[in-house]
Amino acid sequence: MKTTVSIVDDSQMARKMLIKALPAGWDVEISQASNGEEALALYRQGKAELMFLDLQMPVLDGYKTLEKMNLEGLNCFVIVVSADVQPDAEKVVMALGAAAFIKKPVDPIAVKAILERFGVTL
Amino acid sequence: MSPLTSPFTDEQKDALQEIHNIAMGQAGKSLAEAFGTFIHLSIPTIHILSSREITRCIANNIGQDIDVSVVRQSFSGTMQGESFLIFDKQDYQTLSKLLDHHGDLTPETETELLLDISNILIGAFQACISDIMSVEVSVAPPVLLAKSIEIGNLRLADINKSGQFVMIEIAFRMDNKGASCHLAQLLPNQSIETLKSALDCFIAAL
Repeated sequence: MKTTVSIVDDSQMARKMLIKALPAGWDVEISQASNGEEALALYRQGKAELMFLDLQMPVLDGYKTLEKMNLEGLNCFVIVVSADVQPDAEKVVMALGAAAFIKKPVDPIAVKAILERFGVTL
Repeated sequence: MSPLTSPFTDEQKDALQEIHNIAMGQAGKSLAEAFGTFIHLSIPTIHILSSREITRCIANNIGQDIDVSVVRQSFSGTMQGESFLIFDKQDYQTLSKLLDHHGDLTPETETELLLDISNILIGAFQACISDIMSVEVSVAPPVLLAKSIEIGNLRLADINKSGQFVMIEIAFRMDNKGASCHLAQLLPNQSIETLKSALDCFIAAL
């Protein structure tokens, strides 16, 4: 069965960059969202076994999205994708329940390493 | 905000915004490492304006009637333009301790601190942009443009110069109150077409 993956970023360009960095041949069903509210909707529809989540977004940012998903059980691996790559920014999101933190621009090798750590078969 | 029409398509603007987001993160990280403090970052804003509007736009964003010190680093190559680091707050004692500058603070050592910060920030920022957009750009050494002048008297470009400017602005603030500054990158009219082509190449490669 395909893994459902949600890509959440207000920038369409950033979503394209991320999709390009996903491992070739990984059997996924990709959904996209441009803010946290849309991301929550995808999560509730079961379209986010795995979520790539940007932090700075309009409507509902990445931090608040993580908080809300926590209240709903956080049945999802969240990989935060951030332009702010200071160690303190990483600490905050990991404390909020993110499973991993990767920096922009997204490195395909870093994505692959994280997915393997989660036990995803590629 | 600006009466000038944007030279960019929505797609180009999105790419420009995202590239500068990433570069902001890299610049912030370099500064955080150099000063051992968290840096608060603001999302980059893109302005299209005429030379006469630049000072007013900066004062609107940073603060009216305040004194600022400004460092300039021009860049040339595939694209040319100027980056300015506009300091609205700085505590030279703190900065000097954090950078291990020894000896008494003199106007010269104060200037040196501002130039050091500019080198770190603008160097990392420009390197990241050049890398992502695959453009060859070399950055000139920093020069102190003004020290403690009223923001309204700031002249970042010749006000008689015609055509549009693209200004990208980002705020950086040290958590330890060492300094707060705004990076303003100015691209003159003749670089806009080059920038657009570079953005199109970047978009096409995605």
